[in-house]
Amino acid sequence: MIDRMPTALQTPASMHFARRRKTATAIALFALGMGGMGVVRAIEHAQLGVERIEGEGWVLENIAVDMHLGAITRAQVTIARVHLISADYVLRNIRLACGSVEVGATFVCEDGAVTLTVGGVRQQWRGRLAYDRATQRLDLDVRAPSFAGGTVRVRGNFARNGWRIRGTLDNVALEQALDVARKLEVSLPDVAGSGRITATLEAAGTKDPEYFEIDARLVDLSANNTDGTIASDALVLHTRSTFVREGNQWRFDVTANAPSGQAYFEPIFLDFGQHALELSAEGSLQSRDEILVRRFDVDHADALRATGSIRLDLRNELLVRDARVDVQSLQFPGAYTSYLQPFLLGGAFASLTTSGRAAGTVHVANNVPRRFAFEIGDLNVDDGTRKLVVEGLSGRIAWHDDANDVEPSSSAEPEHSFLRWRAGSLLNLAFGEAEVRFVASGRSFRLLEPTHIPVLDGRLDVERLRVEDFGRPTMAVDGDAELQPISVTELCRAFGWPEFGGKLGGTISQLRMRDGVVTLGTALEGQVFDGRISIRDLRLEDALRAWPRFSASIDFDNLDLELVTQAFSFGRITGRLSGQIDGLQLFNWRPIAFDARFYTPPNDRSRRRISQRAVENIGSIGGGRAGVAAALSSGFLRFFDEFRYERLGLSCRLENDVCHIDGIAPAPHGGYYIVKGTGLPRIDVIGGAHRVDWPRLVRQLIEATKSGGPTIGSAPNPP
Amino acid sequence: MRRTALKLVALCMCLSACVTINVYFPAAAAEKAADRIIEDVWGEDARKSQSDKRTQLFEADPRRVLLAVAGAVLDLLVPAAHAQQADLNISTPVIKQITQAMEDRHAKLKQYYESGAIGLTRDGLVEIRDQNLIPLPERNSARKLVADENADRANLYREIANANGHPEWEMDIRRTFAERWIERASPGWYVQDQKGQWTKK
Repeated sequence: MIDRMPTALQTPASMHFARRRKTATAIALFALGMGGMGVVRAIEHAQLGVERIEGEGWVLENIAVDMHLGAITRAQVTIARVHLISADYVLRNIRLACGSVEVGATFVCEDGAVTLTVGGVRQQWRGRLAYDRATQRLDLDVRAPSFAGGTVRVRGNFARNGWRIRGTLDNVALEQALDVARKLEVSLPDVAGSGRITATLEAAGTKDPEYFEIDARLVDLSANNTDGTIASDALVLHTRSTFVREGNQWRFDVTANAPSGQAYFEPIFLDFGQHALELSAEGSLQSRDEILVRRFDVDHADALRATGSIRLDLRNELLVRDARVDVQSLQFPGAYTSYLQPFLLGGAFASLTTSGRAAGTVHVANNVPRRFAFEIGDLNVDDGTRKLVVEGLSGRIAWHDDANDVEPSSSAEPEHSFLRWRAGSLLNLAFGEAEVRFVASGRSFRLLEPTHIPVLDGRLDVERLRVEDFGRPTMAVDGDAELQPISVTELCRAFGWPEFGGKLGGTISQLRMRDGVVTLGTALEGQVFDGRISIRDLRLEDALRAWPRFSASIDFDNLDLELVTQAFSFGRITGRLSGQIDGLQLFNWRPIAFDARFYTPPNDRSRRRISQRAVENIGSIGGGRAGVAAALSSGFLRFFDEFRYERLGLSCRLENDVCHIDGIAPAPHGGYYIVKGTGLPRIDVIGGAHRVDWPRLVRQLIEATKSGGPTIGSAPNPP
Repeated sequence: MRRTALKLVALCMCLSACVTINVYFPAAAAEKAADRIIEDVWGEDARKSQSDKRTQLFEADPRRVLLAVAGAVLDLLVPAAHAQQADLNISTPVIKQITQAMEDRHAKLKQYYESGAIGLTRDGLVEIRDQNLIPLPERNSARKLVADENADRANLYREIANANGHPEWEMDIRRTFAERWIERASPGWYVQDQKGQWTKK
């Protein structure tokens, strides 16, 4: 029988069991041996060696029992190796010391202490172990008085008809527990964290597990994965879950709530202190690859309330095979800050003040939204800079993915949507109450009927608007509209320009957007200063990005100079003015290039007079302000308020912040005529500077138009 | 005789047709331009590292000083190429506006450079190196700062190339900037080496 003696057990009582297959047999024999020894009281010290005991799912190797027999029998058991086959885990060098052993029908180890070293960490557990030989039931109740800063207790019983384990963790430090788990070579996701766990875990089964119940409370949980895409800070999480096996499936019922702390799932940041989260779900794990959530409820305080069902496929990446969500309420601003803002980062709508609510349904299949319908009620949006303001937005938006929709009803005409609003502002332009009816499907949007939007004191009549490839770089917009005249005064006020009169209107046909560039196929016509203005070759790039670029060419025809100079308080000039600004380019709405020229129209028959102050201001453009002022203030010229002129004109080619100036004709000594006088007293304004610093020029012009005009030189006032 | 004349004419035509105009990328001028912009954007932070560099030079071992002297002598003998190169134009209104925006943003980005959360990449951009160093509520705004900064930097490199009439220089300018940003970065900031590995300056 003794074919190989364990080296450490050189005693007459040493025994050796050959490999046995059945657990029950092994344990029975082990207990029998114990019982047998109990009979022979004369022996005070007994030793027993077992090479291997094997059970369902586990193997013990090199077991040595050392017993001290007396009034109170004490025992020491060492097990060199425990292999938990199902968990594929090996424990080594386990020492069990029993303060009191009872060997009878039941083998009881009271006041036991288990010492095991795992991954270099020495663990000590205390407790009770009992084995009933008749029923073959093993009861155990062990606890670690000090485990990762808290305590752990494991109670369990294992019998022929089943087993049940109940583990309790009390105030265990997560960081240390993770450390132990890593040393135990438990495969964990790559996370780092700290916090404390108090939890009860219960599991039961016959052969395989049949039932799990977890009631855990995590406090002050700060954890993150390596790349920081998932993280939590000071999170309090309470979860209760049960898992029950039903045939091949596991039925689960999970509730979780996070009343405080923060979590980040890139790009979504949730502050549970502001919006507490409650979640419940019930469903089943169909197989290793599929989770069916029959019903879930989410209550994200002041942000979202929703219920629904989800089928998840775990085979590859997490795949939402199918999800139907009934959004009972989406409350703003909570919903905006929690769910929308992170996706709008970097765009124009990244920091909006919102209020209002919405509700609707969403259907997702294979990770992609297939259809949604939302009722919007009194939504308000404000970006704080009047680039985007919408007040009292309400309506219904229905959308479906026409290319991939699986719903049978989708073959019919797509559902119509409508939106109406009370008022708003877009790029500083105030607009009024209106309603739009449209169809949205896939990546396209189509206006169903013309819509009339009041803009300032005019109106934009949108006849046609179509968007294709929405949200892609290839997004295309086409539209036609008619702009019912807007008063220029209002327009100036909106953009903070000097106010002047006139009307601007026209047909906005062939409005197109391709590759992020908005162009207008026609010219905008306007009536300003009793003349005509025409804006053509309109082009806008990156309108809603950080650096919008705008370009256009503007023609002015026969403007009344008196009105112009009045509007800009430039100093009175009467007469007519025509001109062009070709190749106007604005970068971030500031001019960076243009080629502009303004001049008296060739066949002008109007009365042409220029005031002292205007002469001076013009002089400052030509770089000779002091000279002009001195000339005007000295001699008899100062007695004249205004002078006749034949023609005037000025051109400026802006390039690299330098204005290359020229006049209407060359003058002696390399100068140029800005104003060519006529009659008596005749005054010519001749410019000398050909290059003027543009920012300085703008400052000078603003100064000239703001102040009541410079005082004339330093000459004393006429008596 | 007439044939020879014809040949000559043909040869002349060939020669005149073969005139190639090479415009080489003005590396030294680009470096100077990059330094000026970096000083504008980083302000004190750029100057700090520059003075550090000078200190290093004086404290350097004798061999290096010798090399430096040799280099200076060579510079005397061979007139420096960049002396003949015109400066790059970096004072267009577009470049000024972008630079100003970057300077304003730097006040917010600085703390992340210092904590090591954001580093300077080898391709002239910035990148979140370790998101876990950013408090959770700031993570999205930090991501936005990085996205905005990178958009501005890309715009800047393109604009400098355009402003100097050589759109094809964009990549060279970006490369120059990448080197200069890293060179001028303050001690303690993270920068990428040529292999893309992060190192602390």
